[in-house]
Amino acid sequence: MSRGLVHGGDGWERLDARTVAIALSWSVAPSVPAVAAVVTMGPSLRTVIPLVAVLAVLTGIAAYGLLRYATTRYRVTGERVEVRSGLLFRRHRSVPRDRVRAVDVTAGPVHRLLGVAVVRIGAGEHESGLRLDAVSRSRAGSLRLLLGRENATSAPAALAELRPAWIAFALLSSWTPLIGLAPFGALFRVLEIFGVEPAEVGFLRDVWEQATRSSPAVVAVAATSTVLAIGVLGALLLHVEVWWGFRLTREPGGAYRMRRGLLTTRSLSLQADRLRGAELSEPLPLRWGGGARLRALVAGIDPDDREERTSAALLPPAPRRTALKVAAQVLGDPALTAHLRPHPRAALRLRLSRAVWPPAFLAVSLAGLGAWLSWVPDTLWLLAPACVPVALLLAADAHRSLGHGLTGRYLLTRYGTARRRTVALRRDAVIGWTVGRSPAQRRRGLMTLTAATAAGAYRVRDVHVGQGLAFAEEAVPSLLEPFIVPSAPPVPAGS
Amino acid sequence: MEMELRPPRHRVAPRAIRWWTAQALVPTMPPALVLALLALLIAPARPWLLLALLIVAVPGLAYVLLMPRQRYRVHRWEVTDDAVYAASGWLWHKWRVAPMSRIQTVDTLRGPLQQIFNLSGVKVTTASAAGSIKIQGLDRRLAADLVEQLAARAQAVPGDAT
Repeated sequence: MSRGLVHGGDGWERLDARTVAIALSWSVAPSVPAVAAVVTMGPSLRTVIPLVAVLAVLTGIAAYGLLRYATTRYRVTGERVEVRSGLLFRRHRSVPRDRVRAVDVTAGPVHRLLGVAVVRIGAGEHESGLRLDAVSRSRAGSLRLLLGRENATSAPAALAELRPAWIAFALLSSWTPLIGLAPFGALFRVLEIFGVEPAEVGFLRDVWEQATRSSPAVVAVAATSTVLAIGVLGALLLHVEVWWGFRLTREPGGAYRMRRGLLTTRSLSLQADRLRGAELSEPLPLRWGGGARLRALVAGIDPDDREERTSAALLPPAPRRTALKVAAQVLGDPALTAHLRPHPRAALRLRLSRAVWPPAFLAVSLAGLGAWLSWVPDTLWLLAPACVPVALLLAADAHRSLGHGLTGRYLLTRYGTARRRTVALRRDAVIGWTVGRSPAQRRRGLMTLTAATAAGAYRVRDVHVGQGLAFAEEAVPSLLEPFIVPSAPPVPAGS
Repeated sequence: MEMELRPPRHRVAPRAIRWWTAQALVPTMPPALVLALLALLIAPARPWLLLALLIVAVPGLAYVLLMPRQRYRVHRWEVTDDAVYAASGWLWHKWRVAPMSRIQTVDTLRGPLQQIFNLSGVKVTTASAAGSIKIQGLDRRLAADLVEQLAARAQAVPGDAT
């Protein structure tokens, strides 16, 4: 080990020694049931080879964990947070403390059993995020206070706490059917890994024989209700695991702090000066149930990364009214409830003309299937025209959802029907505009305005060109102004 | 008053048309050539192969002929004291503005094809997650000057550009 890395020298610290136990748990814990399974099923070449492969991968992960523990050192100085790691490729990464935007403390079940936690220090650019896996729980807490510029002396102010009734919104998750399918997918995957034909497994064969004897309608109903039942149960369990004990507080230093989680606990501290706005999102089932999700727009958090997006959630799925109230407290302005200007009729016509395509595509593919496969009824394509009214209704709703507006510090935009989003974005956070026009938009005199920010890009869809440019100019004066000209009056014929 | 965006002042180098044509030929030529060759060699399947060739070649040819000219008409750029302004696209048009004070890095883009035509691109990155502004198809010397000039100006503005 080279000099300067030893504990104590220049303030460099090791990760917590219990990290070793976590690394070992990767290989020890799964090997026991895997070996047991092979022993009970009778060892054969077909089962032993995948087992060895799986164990080799897990041992590799464990070895990597040990190596990481042995080589990682970190320190917090007056100005910077630094992490050194790696054996062959040594990395030294350092982030100025005043650039730290978010401190994320996560502890999975094993971590919690051992009293350690993973600390992630976000600093804007994705590459420069630091990760300490793992330090003791008390060290994680002190790092959070230190880097979050918080002082532990005065009490934080509570903004929101979990209400048990909100669990009803978990059922309106659009993931419910997928969760229901997940265990079946996993089962077949495991069978495939160990080279077992599903037909060889006794109870699966029984189920299949039952199914082929009953009428298709009964099978369909039974399958759908099984998947939905598992999905509902899974959604509830997931909701409880993720959102248990949720609390949103404003810390004395001005940071926002979220705590949640049953088995895996999570605490995220966001610097208030990194907040760029908020997004209220209403997936269709949730919207029908009067619920909404609320997310903070944070500089440096990528809204397209699912994990990062969830980490910036300010609330679990909650009643719309509560979400708006919390948003108003966090933004310091009831911006999300402000009046929005509607978008032109041309935007509606654009959506209506697009709505015809999916049913047309469906009709053609169903007719094709009917002609190709004997057991598909020839008249099945008639389902597609029946979908047209639904598509038109969705198009009309998509147009009704469109809107944009301004309040004191925020610009607002709303769009989407399957997931309607209302975004309030700090006007001084806009660091660029994009005006986009598709061929269809050019024919109809429309454009889409995109505001670029360090917290993602947000669109005002399908506004008239004049309307959109005026809005951009009003929201962020003088950025677009040098490039705007009065449009040429239509040339009279014959001149 | 009705308003519209005026196009940026400068066009890209006229050579860019040839560069875009070459770029369009890369994906469209090989399948057409393979089909033509097969049609020549396999007599029994010739009608079908010629039909396939027609299906591949007609849209391919249209793309090769139309795309570069249309792009040349749309692609434009302009740098003022306060902002970088660029237009791009051929079917989908895009006008982008980034204020000079928010520019983080300025890079030169030079693909192998661009080098053959002695062209360069300039990539202007801001802190935005929406991606960078790219001005493609500039004369190599002009692009180098532009990069230098933008880098100097971006550096002159204090702050972390978020």
